[in-house]
Amino acid sequence: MTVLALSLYRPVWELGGARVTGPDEDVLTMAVAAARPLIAVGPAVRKVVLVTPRPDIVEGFGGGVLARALDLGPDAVVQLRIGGAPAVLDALLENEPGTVVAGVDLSSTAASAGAALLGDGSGLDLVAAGRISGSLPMRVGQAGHATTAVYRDARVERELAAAPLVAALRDGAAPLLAGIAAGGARRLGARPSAVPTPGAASVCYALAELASAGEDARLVAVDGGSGSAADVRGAARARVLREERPAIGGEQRPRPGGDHVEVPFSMPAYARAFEAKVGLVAAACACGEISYPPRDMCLRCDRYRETTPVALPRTGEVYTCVTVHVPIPGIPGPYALAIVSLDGSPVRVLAQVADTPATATRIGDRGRLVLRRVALREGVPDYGYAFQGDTTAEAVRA
Amino acid sequence: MRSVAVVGAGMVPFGELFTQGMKELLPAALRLALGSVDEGMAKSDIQAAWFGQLQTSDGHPAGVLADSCGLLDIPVTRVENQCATGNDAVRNATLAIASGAVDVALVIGADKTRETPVASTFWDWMGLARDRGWDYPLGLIAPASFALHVARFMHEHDVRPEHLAMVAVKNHHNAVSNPVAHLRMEVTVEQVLAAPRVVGPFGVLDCTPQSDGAAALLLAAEGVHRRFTRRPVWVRGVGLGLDRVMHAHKADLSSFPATVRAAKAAYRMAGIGPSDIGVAEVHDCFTGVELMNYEDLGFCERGGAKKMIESGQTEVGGSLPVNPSGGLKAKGHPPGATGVAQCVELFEQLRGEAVNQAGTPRWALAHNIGGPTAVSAVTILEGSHG
Repeated sequence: MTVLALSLYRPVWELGGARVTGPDEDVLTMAVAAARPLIAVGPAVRKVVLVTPRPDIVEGFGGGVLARALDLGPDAVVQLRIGGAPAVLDALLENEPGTVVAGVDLSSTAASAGAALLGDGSGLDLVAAGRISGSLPMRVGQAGHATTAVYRDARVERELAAAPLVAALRDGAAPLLAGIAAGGARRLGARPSAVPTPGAASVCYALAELASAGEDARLVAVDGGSGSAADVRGAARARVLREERPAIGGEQRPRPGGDHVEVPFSMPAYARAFEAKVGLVAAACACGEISYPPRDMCLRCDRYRETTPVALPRTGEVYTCVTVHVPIPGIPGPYALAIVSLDGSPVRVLAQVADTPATATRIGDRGRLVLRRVALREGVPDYGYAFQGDTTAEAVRA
Repeated sequence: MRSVAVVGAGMVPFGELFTQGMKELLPAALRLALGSVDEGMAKSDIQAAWFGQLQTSDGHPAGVLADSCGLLDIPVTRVENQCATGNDAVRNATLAIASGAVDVALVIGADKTRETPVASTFWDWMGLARDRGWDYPLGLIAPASFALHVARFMHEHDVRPEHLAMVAVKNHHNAVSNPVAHLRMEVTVEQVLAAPRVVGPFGVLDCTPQSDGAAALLLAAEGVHRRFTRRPVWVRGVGLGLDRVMHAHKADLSSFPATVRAAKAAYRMAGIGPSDIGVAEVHDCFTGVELMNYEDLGFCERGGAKKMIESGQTEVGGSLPVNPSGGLKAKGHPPGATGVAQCVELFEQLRGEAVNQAGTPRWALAHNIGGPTAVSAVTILEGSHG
């Protein structure tokens, strides 16, 4: 299978040397953050496989949100698979061109996401080189339990799980090992990758490392007692899109307020808003007037329902903004709200400000809109767009 | 249209009135208004009532008014128009009398803002004013709704936090001598600036308190009014203005177009302009909003508000006293009652009986702006000694 491009994403917040998610991020928004840059690369995406060791939402998983946020067609397939590094490698080996495979880790030690676009043509070729299914449940996250049971013995994991897998799946030279911490990899005679995560995102980080170095190698992905291997050829041909902003101390993240309230949720209101809100789609009237959220009656010419959908620009400038300091039950705070004038468009949007300390945003700041979980209401995640300022951004494009 | 006179006015002192429900507040305000009528008025003289209430604490508003005040034989209309509810109730009653349909009407406004716990208050109010699918989940709480405007206003006109604080200092000072005010205490610019932050440019002392209260006016048609007083106050202009409900749709957040529209309608009906106004009660739910009102009501040119507050023009001894009662900022803000209570203050000002009497004004203006800054109501009154 051919990987045309790889995209890597880590949250901006840092605690104890590791990147951690903001209160408005979850598995779904992380997957969108990693996968969206790949949509513009080339072939139409018809399928997304999202792999994560521990989904934060199982029943009612927002596959439709993911598809809409990535502008996929209405017939696109979205699959959620539970697993780590080998599951990502398997998904890359099994799927057809036009598939995006995304691996997301929300582990408290390192949150990261990686995505790969499969296609025909010039890219990084993956050739299956064996897989082994075993069982060594070093980490078990039981449904209904907030915490994961961890068998804390790195030697056991290395000797009983990883060592036999590496021995069986290597081809002589030291393979690049994904799915295990760097120290463990070295002791096994394998090469660790300089990835920030040992989880589902690690395969994309390892492939990106090979692509950036222009180096071919065997990649072995392990997780518990299972492993999968592939030979990587023509690594230099894959594009790598890497977004990593300078870290901001995680203690500056908005924090949940003290009081608990259930914020009322309306399913019909959600349904009416969904297409425009998650797709960031406005309505263009025959007369040229653009409305967002879409209006049935044109404010300029009074035409009724004679509109066509039009995608909104995702960059813009802050027209006005404020910080909400007072604790609001149900909303992590302090938080900032901004009205953003979108570039080259008459449309302004009201949005929460993401990825920056709440008081940091100013009138005139430039930035872009990113999909976030803007609220959790009566247990239902509500997705929409937040404003992410450029001022602290340093997107690296390799 | 017939001219409409205010012949009586009264209000319950605003505050956290935990021991009084809607059924206690309404008769209390009615009795105070009836008691203020120079020649006396019987309850049976009232032919119709307009009741301004934003929330529905204690149930069906019109029924609760009719029941608690013993007004079962007249029509009662509940008016709800967000924080412009009070002055909109005045407008509705005025038009009914002016039309000839009614000779004597009661306008009463009341709200209980402290009936739910503090933790749910912001969501309660957002539920009244925000689109459930869009702005509601973002946490656009009422102070943020106004702060988005004031932040832009400050940016465009180089207005400093000190200018906002001066509004709080002035209005708190006025409230000290007002026995019906909720917050009767002086504050200093330094205290206002150092107070804990709420939203954006607003600290706690820039914000209105959450008040309970009720206020009532008795209106009578010209001619009929002579049965009740020889010193009427005339309702000369009423105006209601609206604007876009989503903040992202407002073209210029340094202004409240709803206020501009309401004021234009009221001035036109009264046949006067902003320079004729001698005293005003304006909507200062947050300090910076009072400054924006100066410009939107035409009291000064665009960008001129900070000079107005710096110069002391709007203090009680100034050329155009604003909020001599203490305003929403210090007198308090039970939304349905607020606009009616402004007219109670102005009734007293125009009869020379106010506790903070602002000279001998002939014309007075009351103003509300509310909801998602999408509705404003303005009432213009004229005294008899003009």
